[in-house]
Amino acid sequence: MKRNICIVFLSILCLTLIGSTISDTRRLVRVGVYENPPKIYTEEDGTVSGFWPELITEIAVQEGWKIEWVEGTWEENLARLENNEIDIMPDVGWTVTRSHTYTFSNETVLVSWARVYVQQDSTIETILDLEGKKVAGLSGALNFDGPEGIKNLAAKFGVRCDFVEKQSYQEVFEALEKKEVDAGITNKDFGDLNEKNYEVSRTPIIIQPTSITFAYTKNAVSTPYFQATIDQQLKAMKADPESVYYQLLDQFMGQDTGKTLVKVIPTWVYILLANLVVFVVLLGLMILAARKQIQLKTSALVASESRYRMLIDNYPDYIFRIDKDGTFLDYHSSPQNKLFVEPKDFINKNIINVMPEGLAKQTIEKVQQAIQTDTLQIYEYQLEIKGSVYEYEARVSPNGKDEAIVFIRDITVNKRANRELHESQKRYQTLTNIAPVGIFHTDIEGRTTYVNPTWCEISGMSADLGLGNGWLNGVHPDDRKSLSKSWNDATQEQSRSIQDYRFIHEDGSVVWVIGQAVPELNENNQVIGYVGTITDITERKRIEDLKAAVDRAESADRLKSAFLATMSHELRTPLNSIIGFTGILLQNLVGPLNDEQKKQLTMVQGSAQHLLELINDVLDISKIEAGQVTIYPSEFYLNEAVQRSLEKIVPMAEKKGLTVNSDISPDRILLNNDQRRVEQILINLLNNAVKFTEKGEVRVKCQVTDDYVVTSISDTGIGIQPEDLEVLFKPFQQIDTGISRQYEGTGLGLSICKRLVELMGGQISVESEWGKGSTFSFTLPLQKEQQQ
Amino acid sequence: MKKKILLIEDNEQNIYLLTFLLEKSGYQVIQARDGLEGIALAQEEAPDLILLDIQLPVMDGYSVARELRKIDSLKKIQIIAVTSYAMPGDREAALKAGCSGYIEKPIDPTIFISQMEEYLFSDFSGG
Repeated sequence: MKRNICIVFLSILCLTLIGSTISDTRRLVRVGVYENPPKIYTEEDGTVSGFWPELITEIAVQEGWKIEWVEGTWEENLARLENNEIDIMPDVGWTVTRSHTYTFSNETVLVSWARVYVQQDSTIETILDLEGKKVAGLSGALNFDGPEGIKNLAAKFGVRCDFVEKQSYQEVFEALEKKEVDAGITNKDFGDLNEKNYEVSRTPIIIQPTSITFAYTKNAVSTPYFQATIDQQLKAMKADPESVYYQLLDQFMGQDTGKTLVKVIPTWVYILLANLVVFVVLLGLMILAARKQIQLKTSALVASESRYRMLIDNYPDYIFRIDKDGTFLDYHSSPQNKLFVEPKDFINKNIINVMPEGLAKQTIEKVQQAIQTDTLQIYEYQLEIKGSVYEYEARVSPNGKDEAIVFIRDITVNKRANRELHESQKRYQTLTNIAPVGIFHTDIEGRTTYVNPTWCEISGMSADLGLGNGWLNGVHPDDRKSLSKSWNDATQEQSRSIQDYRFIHEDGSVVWVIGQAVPELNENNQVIGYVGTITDITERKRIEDLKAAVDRAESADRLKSAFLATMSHELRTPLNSIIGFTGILLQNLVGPLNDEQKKQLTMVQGSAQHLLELINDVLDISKIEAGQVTIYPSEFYLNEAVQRSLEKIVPMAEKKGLTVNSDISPDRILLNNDQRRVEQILINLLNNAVKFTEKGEVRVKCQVTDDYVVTSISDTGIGIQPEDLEVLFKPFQQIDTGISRQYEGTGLGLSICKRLVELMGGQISVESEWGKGSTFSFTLPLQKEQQQ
Repeated sequence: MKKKILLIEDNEQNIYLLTFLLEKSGYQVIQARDGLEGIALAQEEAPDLILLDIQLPVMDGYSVARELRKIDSLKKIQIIAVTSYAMPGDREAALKAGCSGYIEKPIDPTIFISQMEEYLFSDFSGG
């Protein structure tokens, strides 16, 4: 220490000597001066003084420069600097904007920020409290008019103030003191030094931390030289705690202790205590130097800490300082964070006593690992706070050999979102794998990028073959062109599409599908692709075809029924006249007929009757075939029905000389059935019997068994050949065409009888011996006699 | 005194045929060519029996039967549907509409009168 001070003295002496001897060759340096005490100012006698002039003078001495002070306002000198009218402007805060206009020293000379001051009784504490207030500031100063100055800052917060321009910081404080304004902004250096001389109060509103240094004319020939030289000088001075730089900082920017040391000491004290004084002065200088050093470091630390405090106050993560044994040293937590325990319960306590054991051990282990390996350690953990489980990510960064900084981030929401996303993706995957429909995905051009297993099953193509436009190869050639076109249209219009088409499998089988696709949108509603399904509708198509066929058949059938109903009616009307008038004539109601007239009219009558039968039979069989015959049951006695039927048959039988007998036991057999249909069957069978019998008898026999009555009609006619018995009851299968010519008939009668009997709950059968006669029998269910 | 038969029928040949047959058998025949005329005549003439065709212009036979049955004086009269409607259910439809009986066309002149007289000499108890 002693040696250092000697060196300083010696160097100053030497440089002063050198400086005075080589004045003619010195480089002229033009330095801007403005009024901003104590940093830079002009004393009453015109001497330029302050931190900056002293500093640049020191450098000038070192470098052998001659300084020309160019005085002016802040703005004037900055303008001069820009125009290369001065070489160096001190006290210029670095900003992005200014760095485009000027060249700056790389070495920071001062770190500064600006602070808002208010009247002493003011309640202004935040920038929001400035709403509607008068705020004074230094005209043109960065902290006032700059991009991050109070004016812009207030505007960003939506705070409207009335700004008052002042020409110096003194004026700002004076205005505050006189209560002309509610608030004022000054730089740190001015404020720190002068706040106690005015009736003003600090606020916590601090803005615009700035690096302040020398600025040079941009692109001037000498600028690189000045920049390099001054950088080098500053670097050297900053490295030496006892350099002029630190002395000046202390003299102008620190507490004003130095001024009180200036005392006049009487000469006799020197004489008497010379040795002692030398010793005391040396000792005092040593102590002073040490104190200065501590003060400097402390103030640098305070400045640094203020900067970081500003930065992290709104930092969302938790930050803990933990020593290698697990003791909490310090913390940061933003107000919205939830702390597991209150700060007083963990600060200076060991994590083992505060946090769950597992987490505490893990944390200590990571802290030690970080310190030992000097690397960042990252881990995640869960913590239950007031019944809710939170998830955190911890980053442990070594901080020296004994402690670590732990950054903890609440990742509960991210984790949950990730988990939900993962689950959602898994669910989607499972769904697509097991879905009974084929699923595909395409890019925005419509080229397939994904197909699920069911898609492969339905299309008969492997996933590889189906990708891109490959799927078209599996489509039925008849559908390929139209499908390709409609798909192109859909992708160009970015619309949803739906179409039926066919896939052909390798074995030639055809699968009908209904394909649907919808645009897939991103969060900005832009189409990024398409998702779609194909559903196997082969079975549905088959049923549709079948149904169409059935519909056609049914409509044809309805047409037939309507035609038959009309035909039946229209044919009966003229027949009514033919049969009616023929009957009247043959009854001689009009007058006697001769034999020939009677014979011919009988022929007309026979033909008309035959025609009527034909109409009835065709109508009946059509109705039966179409399943449109309805049985209308009513109670009636079978013997009465037989009697009525016989009455119609007897005249014809008598003409052929046949006897007709009936044998009904018991006398009255009650049925609940369609009486007309029963009579129709009886007449039909009796008619056949009479028709095919030339001699002998026709006999009707009714016999009751347990639940049925069996009615048999027997004849002694030509009989039926065994091979014909099989087709006897089938429609339009009249046996032996030779006979049918001889015996008129439609060939429908027996098949109608069979169907009607069956519809009425009975059965019909035939026994016959060729040449000897036939017996037709049918059964009908009995109706239990009601009590009478 | 001759029994009065109201014949509601639009086909001229059928009118002639049935009128001839009925008059030969000693009945007085009143002819109506459509349902409305038939209903009017039924009230004016108080016939002993009505023969009603089903396929009639303007108002079909079923409707005529229903209207006739609404008239108090005609509640007990015998109404016989004489029709060539031979489809299944036609007979039942006629009875349901209020007819007492049903004779299918073409009629058989040898038995028509006796078929009709069965109804004429029995009481109608339907409706």
